[in-house]
Amino acid sequence: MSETLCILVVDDNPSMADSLADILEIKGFTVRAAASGKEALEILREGPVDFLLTDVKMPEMNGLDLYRATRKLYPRLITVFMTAYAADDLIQQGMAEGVKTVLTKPLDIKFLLSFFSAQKRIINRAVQPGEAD
Amino acid sequence: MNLLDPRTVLISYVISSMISMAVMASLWAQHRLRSSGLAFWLADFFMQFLGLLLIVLRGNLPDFFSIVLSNTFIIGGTLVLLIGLERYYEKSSRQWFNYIYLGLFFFIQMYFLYIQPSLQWRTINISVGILVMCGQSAWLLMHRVDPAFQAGARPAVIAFGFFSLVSLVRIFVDLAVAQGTDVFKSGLYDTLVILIYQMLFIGLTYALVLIVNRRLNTALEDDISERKQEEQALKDSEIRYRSLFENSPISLWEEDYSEVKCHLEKLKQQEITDLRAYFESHPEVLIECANEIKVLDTNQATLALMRASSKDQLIGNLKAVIGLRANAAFVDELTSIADGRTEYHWEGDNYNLDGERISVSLRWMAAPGYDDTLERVLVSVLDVTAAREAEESIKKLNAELEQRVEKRTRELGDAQQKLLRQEKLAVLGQMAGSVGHELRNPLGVISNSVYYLKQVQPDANENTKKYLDIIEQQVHTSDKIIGDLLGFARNTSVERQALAVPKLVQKVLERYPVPGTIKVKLELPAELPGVFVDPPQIEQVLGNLVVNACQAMKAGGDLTISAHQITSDTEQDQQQMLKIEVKDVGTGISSENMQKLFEPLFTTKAGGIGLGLAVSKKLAEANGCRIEVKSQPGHGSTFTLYLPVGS
Repeated sequence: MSETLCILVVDDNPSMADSLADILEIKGFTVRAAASGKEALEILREGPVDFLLTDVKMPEMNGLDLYRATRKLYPRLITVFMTAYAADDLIQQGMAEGVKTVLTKPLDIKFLLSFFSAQKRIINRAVQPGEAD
Repeated sequence: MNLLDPRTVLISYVISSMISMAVMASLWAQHRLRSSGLAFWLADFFMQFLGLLLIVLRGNLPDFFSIVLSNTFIIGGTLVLLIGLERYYEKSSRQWFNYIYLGLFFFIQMYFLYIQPSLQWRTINISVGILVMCGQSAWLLMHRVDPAFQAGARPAVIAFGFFSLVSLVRIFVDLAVAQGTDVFKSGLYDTLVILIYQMLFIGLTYALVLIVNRRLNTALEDDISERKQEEQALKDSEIRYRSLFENSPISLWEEDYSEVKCHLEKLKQQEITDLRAYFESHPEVLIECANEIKVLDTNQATLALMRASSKDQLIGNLKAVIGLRANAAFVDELTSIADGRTEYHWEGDNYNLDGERISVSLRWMAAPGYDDTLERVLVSVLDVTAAREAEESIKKLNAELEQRVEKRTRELGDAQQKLLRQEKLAVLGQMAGSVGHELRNPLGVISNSVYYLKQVQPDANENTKKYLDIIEQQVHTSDKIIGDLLGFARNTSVERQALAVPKLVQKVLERYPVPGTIKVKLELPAELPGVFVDPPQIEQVLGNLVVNACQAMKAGGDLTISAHQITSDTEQDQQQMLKIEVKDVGTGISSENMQKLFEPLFTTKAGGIGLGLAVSKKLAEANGCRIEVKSQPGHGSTFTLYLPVGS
């Protein structure tokens, strides 16, 4: 059991992924960054993460396909979409299939942080009653 | 029996033959040009006369003359008559056998006078001679001439026939009964024969005269009937011509230009070579010439064309004539006549008797046979007014049509342009959408970067902090611009739901935080009904109003957001409404700007693209809302958003 939650950030724009990673890290999260769905899945094979924060519109594998792929590995993985596009079929489908929420770029960092903090509390509460890590 | 002395009878025969000869001479004299045959007839009658004379002078002349030659003349004369008849009927044939016979007769007569004198045989010879010749003549007239003439020749046929018959009887009698040697002492029988011959001869004369007269008559009759036929044909032709002339649909005039022609000839003789110039300098001569034209006749079509009620108005009426020939045209006409032309054509405008203008095509022609004198000239006038008018109206219609086509083409061009513009706009819209979205990525990175820097440099110097703030604000502005652009470009799909007003306002203030210098006052009654709208869209609208209010109060001020339920006055207002007012105490809006306020790309701010209110209006209307504005320049503005109540 670890106090720090691990977030997997996926975005085909490396600057976006890096800047997010840096921000989340100084805020106390552990962050892994990937530039594509394929990379992300490789990282996931090494071990589980707590959150998946992924861009939707990516070449080769988009966010939705990535999400579907992760479901097999980690069905309880909490996923957040981020996108420059407000309305999109992929997003709606993702929401229908269990994606937690969608954030539009440029991201509201405050909201993002509060979201993850809230999730952290939930997880901790869920873990605490006698569950070993 | 001496009642009839043969000699006396013979003398009277001679006299009557003389008369016959005279008749025949006159006949010949009158008609000799018609046929050469008549000369032969006259020759015969002369020979008969001569022969008979010789017979009468029996005793005073040698027997050769009074017995042989005389009878030879008589028989020969009859042959000559036959030849003459043949000639007359143009049935000449060869007579060599007749000549031989005549020679034979002569010799037989000589024989029976000198060698074996026999009155009986001489008489028989003569009778045979008469029979032969008269028989041939009868045959000619009965069968050989044209059937048309046979009727006229009938009397002659009868005469010749009787001559033959009597001769035949005489031959039989002579053969059967013995004779005295002297014809004069022959008795009643022979006297009777001579008398009969005499009568027959007179009859023959008459018949020959009849032949000629009959033929003449027939010819005359033929002539007359031919003449009558010709007359009838002429009459018919005249009727036809008259009918054609009278009923022709073309206006026709029969005129007499003989005087005009003479006048022109006189002028030419005076060595006036340029008639045109002459007429120009002597217009009175022109009038004189016009006066010399005589209208002889016109037809129905002319009356109609000239609006004349009767021909009298036109015949001899100078005005009618002049009316149809304008001066310039008349000069043309006269010069052509002077040049000897017999045909002339002219087109132009003229006047009828009512003074109305008519367009005419005029053809002038000398009638056949009158080319020299121009006593008969035929003028035909075609009224082309209708045709001319039709031409004009077609031209006009064409021009109109062209105009219309031009206009249509222009309209089409305009419509095309509009369509192109709309297509361009549509494409731009789509592009704007894509570009907008894409811009959000780099903006996202910048925003993250600024946040990070702020986090890791809490103690940075003021300037650094200031500039980091500036970057953050600019990112925010850019995002807003993109948002506006996308909002405007996008076709809004509205998903309405029940929304509580306080929650709405709270969300808006979170998303669009006001600067520190501005104080927010909320006046939201507790029991406000929820509104039925698409939350993010109405958030954007309200947010836009808040942002505008803040931007109007750069130096700071009070921003009041209040909400009221509206009680509907009219029964028609089925939808209950609720209004949210955003009030600022800023610079206000001038009256001229008020009109353009909601127009896209209109802005009074330095920054911003000017789509905020336009988008807000679009979104509001899509949600069944309405935006109104009141403003006082220098004191502030109040934007009111009306929302539909519902759940």
